[in-house]
Amino acid sequence: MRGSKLTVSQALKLYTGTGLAGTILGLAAFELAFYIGAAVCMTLMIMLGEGIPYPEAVKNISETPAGDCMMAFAPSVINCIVLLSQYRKDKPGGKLFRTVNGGFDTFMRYRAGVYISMLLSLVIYGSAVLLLTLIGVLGLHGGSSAVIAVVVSSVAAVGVVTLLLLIKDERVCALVSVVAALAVTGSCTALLPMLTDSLLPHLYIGILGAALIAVSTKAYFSHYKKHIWN
Amino acid sequence: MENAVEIKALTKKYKDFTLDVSAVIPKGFATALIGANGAGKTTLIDTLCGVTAKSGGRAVYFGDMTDIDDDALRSRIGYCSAADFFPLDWKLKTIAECMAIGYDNFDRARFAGLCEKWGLGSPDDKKQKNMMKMSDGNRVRAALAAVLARDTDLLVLDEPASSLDPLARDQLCEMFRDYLAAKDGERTILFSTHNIADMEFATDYAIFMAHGKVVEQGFVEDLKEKYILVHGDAQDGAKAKPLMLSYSVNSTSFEGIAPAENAANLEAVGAVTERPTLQQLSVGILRKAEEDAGK
Repeated sequence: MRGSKLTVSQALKLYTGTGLAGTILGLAAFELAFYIGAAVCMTLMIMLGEGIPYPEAVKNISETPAGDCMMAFAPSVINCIVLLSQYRKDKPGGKLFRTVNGGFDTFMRYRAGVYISMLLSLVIYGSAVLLLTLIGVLGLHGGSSAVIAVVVSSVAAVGVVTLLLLIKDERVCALVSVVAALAVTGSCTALLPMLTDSLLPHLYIGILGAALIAVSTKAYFSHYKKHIWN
Repeated sequence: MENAVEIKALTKKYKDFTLDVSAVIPKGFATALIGANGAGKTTLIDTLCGVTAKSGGRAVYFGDMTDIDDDALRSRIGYCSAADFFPLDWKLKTIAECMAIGYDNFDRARFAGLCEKWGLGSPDDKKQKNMMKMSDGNRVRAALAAVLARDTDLLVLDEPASSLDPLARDQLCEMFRDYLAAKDGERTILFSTHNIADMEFATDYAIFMAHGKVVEQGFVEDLKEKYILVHGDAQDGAKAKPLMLSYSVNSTSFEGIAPAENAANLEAVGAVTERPTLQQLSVGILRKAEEDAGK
């Protein structure tokens, strides 16, 4: 394997047409738009269904973990889509990427860029949601604990989905990945704030997620090089 | 004669197909890879360009380079695959930016010039179509413009003519000549094609493939001396057939190719012999390969 002369941001731009900063901001914006869209729909349904004003509808949403789960689903779905883009040889661009400087090493840098983008966009997304919650635009049942739970469980979900990328059948892989990501983030976000006031479990899940990403990425690169890249 | 690439027992094994090739690609010429669908042309090209890992054997590039994962070697090879070389959401601007990142020797100004020349617009235009909205022919033109904008010594193109109209194929042949002439004797082209008649003008050397193997190779002019085109009335076919390599007959006439040394004997049995075109040679050689494989 050769060392690539390209930076992570260059590798990301080469593969996706967008550099690191653009990808981070783009992902965060998509996640926020996804969540705000869903939250607006949910708020409108409650306002129209129950005939109550906006502040009360927001309060209603914050009385159950449903709104918190909705917040978790946005990054789960978007991260799944990003992770499932694998540039196989028979897909457009697949052969080009196998001939560029650095070859597989450049591919690994591109994937590293994807993970960095996902993690930093999660932080931006979580901060934005927390801000909107604090100023009363959105309502969260678990408050800041739920926001942190979304971030750490999304990290864990990224690790789980990376591991699931080893599934050979693309359709099965996509289906199982989405279900698993939603299950991990949804259950963590709903349960963690209810189980404890402490943030230690969040920390443990975050550490577990990071470890899972490290292990699954290594397995993924090895599998990808052997079965897909070559 | 120097060779740009020497292929020595290069193999690539799949469950239902094995590529096993030994061949040379002479330096300074345009070499055509000719064969039926599934003959192994794309597999050979992909293996030579590092798109697919080889199973065994080796290829020696430019006299002493063997590691296709070496960027120094990659930078000397301009490769373009048959279909959808670029992601479909890319525009000319994206192509220019990404080629500049991915390769050391990409000349953006040259790419822009080629795009303008081939009516694709400019990579700097505000409004641009993405690849998905381009016609098949324009996608190929965009890919060729990108690969030709690199300063390379070996151009490897998989089916470059397949999506092009006759006029564009003629331009492709001209482009081949320009590429070779730019560094006389130093640059080499390897391309696969089914449009043999259209590409004959651009072909100096031919490698014929069938069932993953090379069945014939040589300079086109030498092959046209080595083989002759034979045709005649159907009634004389039976006498001519044993002297021929490939043979097809209908109710009125027969046709095929034969070794040139059989010319006198074939003329003696009433057959007419001619110098074949590359297209006729290809049909004859590949038909013989199919017959041999069926035995």
